[in-house]
Amino acid sequence: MTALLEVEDLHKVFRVPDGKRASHGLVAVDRLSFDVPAGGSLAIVGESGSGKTTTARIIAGLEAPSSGLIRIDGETRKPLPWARSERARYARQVQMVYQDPSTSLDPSQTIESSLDEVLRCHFGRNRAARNRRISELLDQCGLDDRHRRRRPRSLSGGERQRAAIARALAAAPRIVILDEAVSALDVSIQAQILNLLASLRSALGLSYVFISHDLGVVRQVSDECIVMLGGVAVETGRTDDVLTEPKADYTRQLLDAIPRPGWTPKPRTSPGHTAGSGQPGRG
Amino acid sequence: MALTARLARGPALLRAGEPRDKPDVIAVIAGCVCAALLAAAIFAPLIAPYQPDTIDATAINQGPSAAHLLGTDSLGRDILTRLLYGARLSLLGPALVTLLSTTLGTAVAIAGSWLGGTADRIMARLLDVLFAFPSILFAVLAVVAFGTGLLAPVVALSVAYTPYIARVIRSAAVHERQLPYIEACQLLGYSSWRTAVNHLLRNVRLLIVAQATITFGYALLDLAAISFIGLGVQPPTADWGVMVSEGDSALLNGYVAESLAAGAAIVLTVVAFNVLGERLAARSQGRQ
Amino acid sequence: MTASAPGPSHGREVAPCLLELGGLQVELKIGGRPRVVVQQVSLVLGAGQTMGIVGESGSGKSVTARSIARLLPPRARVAGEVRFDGEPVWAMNRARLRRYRACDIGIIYQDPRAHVNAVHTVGDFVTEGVRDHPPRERRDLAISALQAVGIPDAERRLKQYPHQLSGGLLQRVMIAAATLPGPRLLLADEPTTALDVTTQSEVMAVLAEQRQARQLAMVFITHDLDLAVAVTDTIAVMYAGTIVETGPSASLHECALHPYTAGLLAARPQPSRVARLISIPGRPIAAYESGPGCVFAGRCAHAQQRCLEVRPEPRQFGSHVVSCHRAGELRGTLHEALERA
Repeated sequence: MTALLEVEDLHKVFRVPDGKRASHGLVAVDRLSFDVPAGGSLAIVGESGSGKTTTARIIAGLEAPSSGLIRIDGETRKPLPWARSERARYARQVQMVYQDPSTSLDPSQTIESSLDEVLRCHFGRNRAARNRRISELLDQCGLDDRHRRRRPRSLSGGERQRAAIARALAAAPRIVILDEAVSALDVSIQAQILNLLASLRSALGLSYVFISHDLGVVRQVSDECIVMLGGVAVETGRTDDVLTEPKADYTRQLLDAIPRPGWTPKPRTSPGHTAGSGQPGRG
Repeated sequence: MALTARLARGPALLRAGEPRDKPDVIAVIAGCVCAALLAAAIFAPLIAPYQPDTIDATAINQGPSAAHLLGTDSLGRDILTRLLYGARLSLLGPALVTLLSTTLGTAVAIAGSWLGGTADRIMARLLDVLFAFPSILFAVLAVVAFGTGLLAPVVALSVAYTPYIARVIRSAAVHERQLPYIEACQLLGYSSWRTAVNHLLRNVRLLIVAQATITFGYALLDLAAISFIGLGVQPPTADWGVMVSEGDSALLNGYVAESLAAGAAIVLTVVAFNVLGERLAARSQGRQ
Repeated sequence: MTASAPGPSHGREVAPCLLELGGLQVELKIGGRPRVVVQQVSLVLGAGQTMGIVGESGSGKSVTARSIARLLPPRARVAGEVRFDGEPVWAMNRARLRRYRACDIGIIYQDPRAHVNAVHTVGDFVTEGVRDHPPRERRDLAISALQAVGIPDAERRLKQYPHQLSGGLLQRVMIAAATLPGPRLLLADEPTTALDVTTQSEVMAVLAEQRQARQLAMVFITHDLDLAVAVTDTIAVMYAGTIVETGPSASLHECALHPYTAGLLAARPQPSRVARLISIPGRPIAAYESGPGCVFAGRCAHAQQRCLEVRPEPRQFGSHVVSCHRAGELRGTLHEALERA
């Protein structure tokens, strides 16, 4: 049985200027391959500069890979740039939920209007049918009529992220990419959203590609995971196995760095190498 | 006791009300003044006590009285009436300038910020050329080329103001453009047009309104100045700039009513529109 | 300013007491109106001790930290007391206040790039607190400070600008700058939140080293309860502008006495186990959104009528101080109740 999402030899190089004239290539994603079965959940774990966000954006169709193939349901994806019809079709297969819902939702649009727009663009239908679908989406995401006519700024962080999830689901995708979708939320809200995502996955048969730096979250939501460092997958496997019996040094390092009672912070043993460590930035 | 029942009573639980900002009193006052001025212009025939062109040789250069609330000018015409009728032309010109320059400026700004790259750079250079011309000079040249009246100065000022509006709108649009929600539109399969208009433009609309309001004030001043120097609207048509100019001879003889009334009207309108525009701009900035 | 320290204050009573907050109340202008964001916060910290202040959005933890340094917006209204070594901070004059902020306490912020002047070199930034020393000495002090926080090639780094350093390095520079003048108290406001987890570990190691070497007391603000448990002696859990529970870190983790603390512990996903995450319904509120009763009543599974009407006073339970009407009867059962839910 072919997997729903197949990624083969994904490779992405960015050109980085070296002073005024020269430039060198920065390998953000280094020949990455993985599969996600229908209804499965894959986590891509890494720190900043690991290439996980670039991978997510390539799968979402926001960036073109330098080389490599992506197959959805056996059909190879056309290379970018896409015509409008192709992009619209892809939108109905793959959607993404961003990290920060206060900037990923249109601040001038009510929740109802943002959902309605998606429905109108993709499914037409009459107003009554759209209204019903909007109610259904809101209900699935734990929102109700009170939130329909509100704009994002009058919603709490958790409510906004629910609205962002509802908007992604409005396009009826089969694959949802979650790019650090709970990282910006308070702990008590994080749990709510993680529970919501789990129930949506089983109720709607969605497949997830979950990008995160948080191993605790990853353990909760994914069946399989890939640990990335410097654009390379240093370890892959079932999440339970990877996190309880890590084989790669880096995975062990990540696990050791997680604070817990009795933990003492340890300086990094190997001279830190992350992709982009030559650049100033996070990490 | 069921948790849900408790939730229904719990204070602030799940309630996320609209953040209540304090209403901006000054903006409201300015807004009322602007509205009153527009109403005066529109309803002039209904509220003016006389006709603007009625000459009364027996009542020349009179001060304010019961019959003439603001006095009369050197031809015996009622100043208040001329002020009200003058409002029509004096406000119409700026309105046209504002409409044209805002539309053009916004279009250039949104197109430039959306397309980016070379197209944006070319537009920026074109705007730079326009920036180099002082607006009055533009208007004078236009009048020289196309004759007096309202049309030439309006067209010239519209072109001259476009780059100012475009610059402000473009910088706000560029900021919005790189926010994730614009990219999310691409993800959702929306067309470029839909994204640029329904999402990008919509989020700078408050700023556009603010800019338009400020432009109105400047246009009024420039047009009045053009009428004052004899280009633009010609006497005997009632227009505030013309009135200031016509009243100068009476001014020298100690009769200040005409020039003062027209001048005060200009100042009041410009200040009211500027204040309103600045407050709206501040509000839109605060939202970002 | 009224001095009102109600009942037992949160934190261990150890003499001498380096930092003391008594009935702190802070009002800030939000949306044009003054709103209470911190209410009735009292705690004590002895020399060399570490206290973690843990809370979510709206808990008032950052504002509390800033009150200690007296770094609130000018129109903030503050009542209650902040005493450093017995001296009221909010009564200090300008000169004393400057010395207090530069030399008595050291502050480490969450985002180093926002708090380090981009046009000054690293060397200048590190020695800002010791400007009264001669230049030669300043340079040597800067080099040794950078070396102490584990920055290799310190001499070269001195001349670099902040944008040339990574986030982790810059945070170390900030620690160096904060500890160089020899403060007795460190205020760390979410110092590692913006960093990767391995970098966080490094920075926390550096911080621990510096603390031990200089016998510094520390107030550590964070939303990460696990991190606080690992690096502090005592933890104060804040919700809606008040402290709901204080206790020794290990004990808090094992057996929380306040439903909110227990809820936070249960909601946190752990890499070591897969369990159904028990979420707290609703959302975290700020002080001005709370009603007359307990601030947590609206979200608490154990709330009763009394909880909605009467605000609980902090009471001592063993080594914890808890603000909960039902703490006594719920004691020891909170964790199980959550498992069963």
